[in-house]
Amino acid sequence: MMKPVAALSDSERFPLIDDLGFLKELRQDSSAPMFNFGSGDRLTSEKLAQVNDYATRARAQQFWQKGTQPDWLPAFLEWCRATVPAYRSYQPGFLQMPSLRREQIASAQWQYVSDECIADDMLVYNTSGSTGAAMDVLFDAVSQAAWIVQLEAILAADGIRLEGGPGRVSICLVCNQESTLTYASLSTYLRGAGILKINLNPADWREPQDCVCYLEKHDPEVLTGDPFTFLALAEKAPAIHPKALVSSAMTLHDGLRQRLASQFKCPVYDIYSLTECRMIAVARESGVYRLIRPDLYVEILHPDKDEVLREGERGEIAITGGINPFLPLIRYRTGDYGCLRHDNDLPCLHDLSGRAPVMLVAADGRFINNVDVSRALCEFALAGFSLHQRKDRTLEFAAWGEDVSEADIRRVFAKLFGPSVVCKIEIMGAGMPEGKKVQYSSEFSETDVCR
Amino acid sequence: MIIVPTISEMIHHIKRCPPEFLAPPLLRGRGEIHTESLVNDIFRMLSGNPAAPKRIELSTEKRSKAELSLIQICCWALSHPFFRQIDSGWLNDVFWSQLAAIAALVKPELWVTDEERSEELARMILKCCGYVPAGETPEEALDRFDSVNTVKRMKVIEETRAANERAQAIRRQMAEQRAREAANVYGRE
Repeated sequence: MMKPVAALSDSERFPLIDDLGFLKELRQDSSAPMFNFGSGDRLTSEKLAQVNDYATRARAQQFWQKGTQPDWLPAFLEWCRATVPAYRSYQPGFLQMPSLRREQIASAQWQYVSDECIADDMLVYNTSGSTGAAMDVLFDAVSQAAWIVQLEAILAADGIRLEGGPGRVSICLVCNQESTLTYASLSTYLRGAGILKINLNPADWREPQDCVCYLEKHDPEVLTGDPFTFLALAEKAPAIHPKALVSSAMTLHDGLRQRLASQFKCPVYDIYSLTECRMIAVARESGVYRLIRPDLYVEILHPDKDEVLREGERGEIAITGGINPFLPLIRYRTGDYGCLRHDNDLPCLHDLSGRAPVMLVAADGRFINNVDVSRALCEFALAGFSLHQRKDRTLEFAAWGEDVSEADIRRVFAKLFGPSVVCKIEIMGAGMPEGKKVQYSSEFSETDVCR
Repeated sequence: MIIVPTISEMIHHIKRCPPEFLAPPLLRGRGEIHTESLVNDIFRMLSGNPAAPKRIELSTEKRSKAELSLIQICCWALSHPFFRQIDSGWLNDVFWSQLAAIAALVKPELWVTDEERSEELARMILKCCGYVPAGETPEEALDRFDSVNTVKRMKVIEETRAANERAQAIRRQMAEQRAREAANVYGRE
């Protein structure tokens, strides 16, 4: 895996923002964390216009009706067949097209880039592989900024609007990990508003009170995080006034949702999203994820064959469409399972699985985020692995891959879980069985951690 | 009844091309064979009128040596008895105009020494005069012609080369730190 490093100047990061005073203010604030990275949206006027166009389209577009396919689908498939090397050999007829698996993309990303793309516009994001093996995902500045448009669409349904503009922090991505990239940035689309990515880990801050102080001072409009991070944030009890909390990466259960909603006095959204296509669906209540993007067609496929299941039947979620010309998807199998039903004419995912939060606990009782485990194991070339924690805190680890020893794994776990951690390790070489490439499970439940 | 030869028979005929047809064409004062005379002789033979005046203007000075050599080889190919059974109207209109592109891609002697090029030439000539080799359906004939077609093969090679270059460009960009930095703005999944 290639670790990202800061490689651009601020003027390259924000070609359209002349006054970078607010960015400097966010970075140089006396309570600011020790930011370890820099990043910007790289939107030029042409690309910004494309993001704005997408926003206009997104507001106007309707979902496909039950039992039908979206209007845009034929033109999209035709464009894929004409300009995307991997799809050139596809025969017309959507239902005859084969489904696509993550491994196919991971081994040849360049085959999925449209001929229309300019290589210099390409951005590369390495997913740590919290639910699958690590993979580089390619996209461009427009599809990256479209994430904010998708967020706006979710908020707009409840009458919430991002104010943006210079001097206002609109979005704060909150993490609670051993280590992660942190930075202050700006959004050109939100007219120069601040974007922060911070880590609650005390090691990231100069003084223990700085984290709360910094958040209170900049009072972000929206915070994003995973359920555990929000729990940790709630315990710090900053006096902030977010318009919404947006949770992703794993299921947010109602107990925590209610606690967060009442403490921060705002709606709490649980987002189903993938790095490969960004946001897909949102849940305002446990168990029902409303699709939010008419530009993404969702099917439920039989796990073993390319057969569409009937509405309400449970199977693998497959995605077609999106606005990323560096990775247009046709029947992409997400590895997640659920069923699709139209509720009041809106397609919704029910019984979504594969996102259950996993409680991993260190020897001293600290909660360990599985993202940290995935990231630490990235240094080895593993085809996949499973990690299970027993109630007595012992770990059971099985991995498929070569050039990795038991001692390597023990070293990583001792660092993460503490030197006294007991683990049973099995390394199996090649020949990984089908299914999710990375699996976490634990005998601890949320109540053990969410006291 | 017109008896169309099988493709093997045409290949066999082409490969028996006498060395005289392979001699260098007379071009800008050099070479041995007066290609235009040869073409007109063949035309007279095919039209069954040995005393006819010259009918075909080749404008040899506008053609390459390779094209003139290929025209000479075609003259031999057309000496097969089959072509005397059919109308020769197609010769001037279709045939002589099509050889320039393909001639530039193949060494002249290969048309008579290389099995696949002989087959390509045989199929090309039969296609030009509108006949399907004996024992083949029109679809089979077209399909087999595609499989030996030098122009198509070159196009595939060119497309493959372009696709490889494109893949390389994308892979180079994937290794760029600049591309990785900027990709992290909202990354958290």
